[in-house]
Amino acid sequence: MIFGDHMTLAQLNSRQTARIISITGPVALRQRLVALGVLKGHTISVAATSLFGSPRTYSVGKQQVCLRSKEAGYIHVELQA
Amino acid sequence: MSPDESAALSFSDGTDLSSSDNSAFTIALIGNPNCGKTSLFNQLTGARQRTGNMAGVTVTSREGNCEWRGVEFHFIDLPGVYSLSNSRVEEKVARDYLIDSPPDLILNVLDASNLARNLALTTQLMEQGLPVVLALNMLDELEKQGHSVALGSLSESLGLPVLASDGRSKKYLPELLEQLLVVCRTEQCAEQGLHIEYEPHLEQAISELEALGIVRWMAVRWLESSGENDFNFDANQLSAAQSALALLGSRHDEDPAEMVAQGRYGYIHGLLHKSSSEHRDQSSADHWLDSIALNRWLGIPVFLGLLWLMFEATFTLGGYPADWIDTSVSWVGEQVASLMPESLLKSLLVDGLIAGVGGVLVFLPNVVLLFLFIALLEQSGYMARAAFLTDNLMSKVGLHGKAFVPLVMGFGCNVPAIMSARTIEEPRARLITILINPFMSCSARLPVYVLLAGIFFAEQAGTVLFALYMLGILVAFGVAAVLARTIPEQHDETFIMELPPWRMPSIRSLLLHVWDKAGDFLRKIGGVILVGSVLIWLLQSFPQNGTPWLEQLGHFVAPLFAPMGFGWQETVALLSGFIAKEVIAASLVVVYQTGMSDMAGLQAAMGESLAPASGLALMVFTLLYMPCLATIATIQRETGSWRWVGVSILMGLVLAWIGAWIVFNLASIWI
Repeated sequence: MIFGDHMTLAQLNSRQTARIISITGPVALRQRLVALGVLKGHTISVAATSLFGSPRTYSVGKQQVCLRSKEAGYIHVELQA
Repeated sequence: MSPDESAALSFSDGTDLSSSDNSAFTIALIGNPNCGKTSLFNQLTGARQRTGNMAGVTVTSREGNCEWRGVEFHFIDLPGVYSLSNSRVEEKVARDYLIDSPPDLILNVLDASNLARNLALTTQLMEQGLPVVLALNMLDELEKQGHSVALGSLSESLGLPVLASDGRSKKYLPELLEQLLVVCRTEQCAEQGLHIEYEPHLEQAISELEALGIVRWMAVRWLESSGENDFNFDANQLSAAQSALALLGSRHDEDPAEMVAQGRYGYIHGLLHKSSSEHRDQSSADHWLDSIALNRWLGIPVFLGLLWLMFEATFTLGGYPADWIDTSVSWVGEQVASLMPESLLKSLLVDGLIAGVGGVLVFLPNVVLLFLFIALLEQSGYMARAAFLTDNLMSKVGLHGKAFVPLVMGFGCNVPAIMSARTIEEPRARLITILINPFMSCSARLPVYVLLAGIFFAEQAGTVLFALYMLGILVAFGVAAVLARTIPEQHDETFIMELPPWRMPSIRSLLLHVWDKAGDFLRKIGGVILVGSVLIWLLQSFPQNGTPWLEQLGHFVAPLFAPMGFGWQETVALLSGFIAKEVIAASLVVVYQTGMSDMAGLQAAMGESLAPASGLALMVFTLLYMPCLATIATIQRETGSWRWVGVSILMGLVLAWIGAWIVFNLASIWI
């Protein structure tokens, strides 16, 4: 699934909001994200960045989830206006 | 319960009283991490336990009883889980428990301020057809967000009893217990499992498996876990399941877990649309505290500042009650001394028991304060944020963000801290976390620091404490870095962690926690420290004519410690400290006994015989040298090998000696 404005969550800037279009990566990672309620179609934005740029916390729905940039790279998003 | 069994039951009893002749019921508490489940469990059972704010602090389930109107409820606190289908340890514990020994009833605790995700677990329980009662926590937080949930309407749509609960107060408790009793008595729960309509291809796979005699919920669970949840399918069923999974994989980019979750969340959103006032998932997670605590540049300075404040407050605030205890202890000592005739028994009481036990008792306020601050960090939700801030650093030394909780818990006591490392699944990261934990300065070492810092660095005592804890952390990280390069990594563990919302800690549970820790400390004083003090006194008093054994022993080993300027007294104290670290303080008090039984006398005596640089070196040695007996036993149990115990002891002794030597020499130049 490649779209014109395709990017991964790791590339999202701190002021941007995006929508999750697909999640790839190891099965254990995908299952864990699903269990936390990080699903396709959800709106996601960067909430906080740690000193070295990874991990970052993201707001998804009513929660904040911490991800290292490696894991965030498996989440494909499209920018939202 | 299969239809046959339930038929047999109602037949033999004739009425629906099938379970009312029972006066005891087992109820399992289950819920997402941070949903307030353990607080509710404490309210229900009165058990004095801690609520961890991070996933998986409760790895093994806890149990407790409660009597309500003549009926005995046996509560089991299952580990906090987001789901039942993942391959994680805590989920496996909960999953196996529910299948192998199903309780009479499940009390599913939900965080009302994040209802949709919390209900996802509920749908798994309902699909499994288990008897469930829902308890909604944090309703006040939801109201603060300007939302509300109609409990009645939610209950109606789900077909389950839905009740309010609160881990911080007992106001909802009678109603909750009453409802539990009613449900247990009548078994008025859904007999049939919940049926969620999934995506067509998934439904096709499920019905294929159902045709082979697999129960629907098992089919769903097997597919969503990609076969990880093993339900003892026979060869025929297993091959059908595997080909169904392969077919699904070829038709969809999504993982079956995602497809199942879409179905679950679809069902949940339908429910909430009817019974909840919120229509959009607004990002209510934002909090002004996070703009400081998680700020990219401020985050780490604020974290360090908080730690410094914590140790400063531990020392200064603890000082006042410590003075009162000191005064009382020396008063008792003087009374006993003046009432008794000169004898060996009097010496045992005054110079052994009262001096040794009193010498440690004085530090009770400091220890209690430290535990209070750690509990505050945990319950407020700051601990998870600190884990986020330090993850990058941790990953550089082969550790995992999850190692943060065991490490900070180590400031309290290394024993539970090492046990909590079970939540780390990758074996290497877990082993490293266990081995470096003794360098996290436990509260038992605090009396030694407070005593010595008070003597030599009274003005900057808080800063000295902070520096010691920091040194412990640095050594721990250094050792971790070395271990990470020598032990092979087994598999990568991902760092995905939910940041719990900020929460006002409940005064009641903080007080319970502190009360509990104070009790532990007092028991330790009454046990190992009392025995240690008497032992030290014995060795100090005999033989009565000649050099006491203790001094002989001290002089024998002292050359080893001479480079740091320790006398035989310090040597003996360090030797005794391997039983328990508090004994070091008790020993110093006993061996330095100067006829004066209060702290001022001891401080004067120690200040005279020991150089400040040696005092600092003694603190460093105490910080780093071998784990205490209880910790050694725990390391052995958790790693299952004496080899790692040997590594831990040797590493500690060598590092302590080198560290103390360096500190002594540096300090001798500057002080």
